[in-house]
Amino acid sequence: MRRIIFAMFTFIFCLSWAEVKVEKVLETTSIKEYNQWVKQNKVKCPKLEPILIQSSHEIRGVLRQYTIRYYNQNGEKLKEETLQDSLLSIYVPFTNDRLILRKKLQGDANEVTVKNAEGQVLFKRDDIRTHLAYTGIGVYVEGLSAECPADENTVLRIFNENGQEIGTLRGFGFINLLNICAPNDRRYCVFEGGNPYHGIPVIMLNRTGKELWRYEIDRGVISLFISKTGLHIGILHSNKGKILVFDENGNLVQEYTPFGENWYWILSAFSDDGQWLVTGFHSKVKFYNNKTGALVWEDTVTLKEKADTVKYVHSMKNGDFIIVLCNSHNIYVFDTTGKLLLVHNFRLGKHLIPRRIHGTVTEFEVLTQNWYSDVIGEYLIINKYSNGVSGARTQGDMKIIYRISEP
Amino acid sequence: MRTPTASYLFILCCFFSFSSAQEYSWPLYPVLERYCRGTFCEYRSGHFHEGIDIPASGSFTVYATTDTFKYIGNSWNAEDQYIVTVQHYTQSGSSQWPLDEGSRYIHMYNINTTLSEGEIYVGEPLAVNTGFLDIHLHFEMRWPAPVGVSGLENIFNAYNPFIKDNLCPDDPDDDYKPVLDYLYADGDVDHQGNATINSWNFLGYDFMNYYDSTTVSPFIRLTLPTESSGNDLDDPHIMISGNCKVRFILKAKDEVTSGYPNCAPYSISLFFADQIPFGEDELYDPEKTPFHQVKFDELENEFGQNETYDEEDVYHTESPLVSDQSTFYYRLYPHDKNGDGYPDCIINPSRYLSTEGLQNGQYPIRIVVTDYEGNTKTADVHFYVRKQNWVDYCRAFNY
Repeated sequence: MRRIIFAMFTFIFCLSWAEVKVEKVLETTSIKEYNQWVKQNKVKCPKLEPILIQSSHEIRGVLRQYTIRYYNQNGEKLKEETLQDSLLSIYVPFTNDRLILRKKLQGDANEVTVKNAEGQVLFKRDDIRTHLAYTGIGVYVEGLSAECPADENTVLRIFNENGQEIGTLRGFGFINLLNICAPNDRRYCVFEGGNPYHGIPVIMLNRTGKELWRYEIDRGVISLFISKTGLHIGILHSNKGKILVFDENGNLVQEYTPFGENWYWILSAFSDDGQWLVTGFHSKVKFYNNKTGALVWEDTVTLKEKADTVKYVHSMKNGDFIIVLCNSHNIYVFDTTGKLLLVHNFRLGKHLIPRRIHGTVTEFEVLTQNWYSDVIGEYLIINKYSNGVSGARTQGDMKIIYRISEP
Repeated sequence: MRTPTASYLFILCCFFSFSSAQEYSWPLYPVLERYCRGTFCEYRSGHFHEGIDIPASGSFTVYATTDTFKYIGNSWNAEDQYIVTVQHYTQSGSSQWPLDEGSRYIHMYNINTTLSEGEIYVGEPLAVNTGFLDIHLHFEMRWPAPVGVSGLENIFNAYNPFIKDNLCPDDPDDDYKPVLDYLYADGDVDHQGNATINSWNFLGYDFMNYYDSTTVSPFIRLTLPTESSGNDLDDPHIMISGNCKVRFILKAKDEVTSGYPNCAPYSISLFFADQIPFGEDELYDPEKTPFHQVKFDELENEFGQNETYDEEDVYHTESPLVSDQSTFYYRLYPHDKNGDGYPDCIINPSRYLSTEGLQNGQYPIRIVVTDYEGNTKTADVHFYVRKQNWVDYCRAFNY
């Protein structure tokens, strides 16, 4: 029955313009449904990953209750654990293949237990100073609390997959897990060091935990992004409105200031091979050639006419399609010449925001912004999540998946 | 300590001129009670607490403390959950100006994802219906602002939010006086010259040699009486024999409510001998300036602002005086900034008191501990200097 409804739905929603075809292929809140869809499409799109672990928490006074559910590739629930402890915190890394439990012990020590996607203990340590961050490449980095100022002598230990210490890092307090990237083959990771004493360090580690290079940038919000091949690393430095493009060896290869030198929160993405860069800010979109640094095209009109502001940008099919998602829930698809191919609204609904001015709270209705987007192969995946929990921590409660292809 | 340059002073003036007109609001909504369970500058395992911990059991909306703010950004780690940073703005009509200060909000499980980094907002929440790790919001204010709007980019200049109007705790339940637990006299022979320190326990106080298995330094620990001010006869006495330098360390804490862990107090003052005011009402007589005071308003920063102090003012170097969130130890003297090899002992205008400079006899000290609500607890202790091989008990009794 579900398949029939699904087929009908797909038939109803299939936008086909002259040069692009956009199909909604799935909208679901079911892990089982999502994992089965992944299984069906994994041959065609190997980078699709099923959801294997999902954790939720509930706070009752001083007590925290965690529910952890383990799933198989088919989306069948393997087991469910409930943990209740006022001193426990739980973290599922972005790789979604393990679980990190941290329990505060007496004094300064913390006990950290790492479990795999089946719930088996991989290793346990009881001497972690505050917490342990997983980098996605078989390497863990110790972290301190953000309340604890780091200095140039702060030393964070690095551990391998077995929990053995394999090195150290200096000069910052923790990994900002909102800014951590690894290429498809996971040969390295690059991350932002949180709570630094000096400038913000962007650090690349290899799979042995060795620091390959570090670039220290002035304070001001940054964001990291990399090409899927891992050949290019981008740093957005919002304080100066700059995009810095590095090669894998840490050499600065391009520097852009696409919207002027000011405070701008810019969104950017590389094509898979890193040759192209799409960037957006407010209602402007620009497309660069990273080999030459040349501006290929810009569009300052299309979004402005609809009073749209950019939330995410993506490059699909190695730069053939430029996808811009806006706070209005609009999807814009451009081609490599900047020609607008399609506009579609995916309608996530609204919610109320309570504003407080001079102590008086008034509620305003706004379009929901609890969503983020991914592009994997020819699929655009919109993840809606609850309670402001962003993409660093969740697979999303609801997924809307579009297939974007040539007709 | 560096001397403030003219430009720094200008910035300082701008800061205070702005801040005096700026309204600040309690960051949690609804405002159930305005109190904290962790105070500014508590010493915590290697660092000072750079903000206040506001209890938050349940679900709350978090607002920036200034209505108008620039959303600087957020980060997340497994220990702290979400960390949101804003820069404060002031607003008049439709005009908005950046202030050279900002704030951070830590431990939120959820944040408001409608906010964009770098944008200025008025009244928008930072988080809606969020819970908090360890059921508290860590709130801190920083000056200069956490970003480099003026080129001053050191985010580590934290200051006490309580010095702002509307951010002082307003907890009707906090009528608890701070607690004075113990006074420790450090009897390490390397510190005290050729003297010995003993209790003179004629009134039967709890006064013991305190050893810890991990240290060889003997501390003499005196349990401070629950009542002592203005009544010399029940004050405990410490006997110092010979020429010595003695370190006095105080264990004290602030009780906010019975339901939460203790906080560090707001200030600790030490009065010495004739500086001691008489009677409860004269504790803050301006004529009677304390010999030494630790007042937790600001961490030291490069601008040399007032009320700076050093990490060593909160004693934490070794067991048994290791401080954590529920145990607070304070030096009753400025620590050895010069690193001249001595622990720069107690109470003397030239940084320490050496009993070499004192005559035989009894010397009273008064310890005054105050919390943010102005609740005060005092304790008097008499130490007795003896340089001969005999004890002048009578002088002590007749003092």
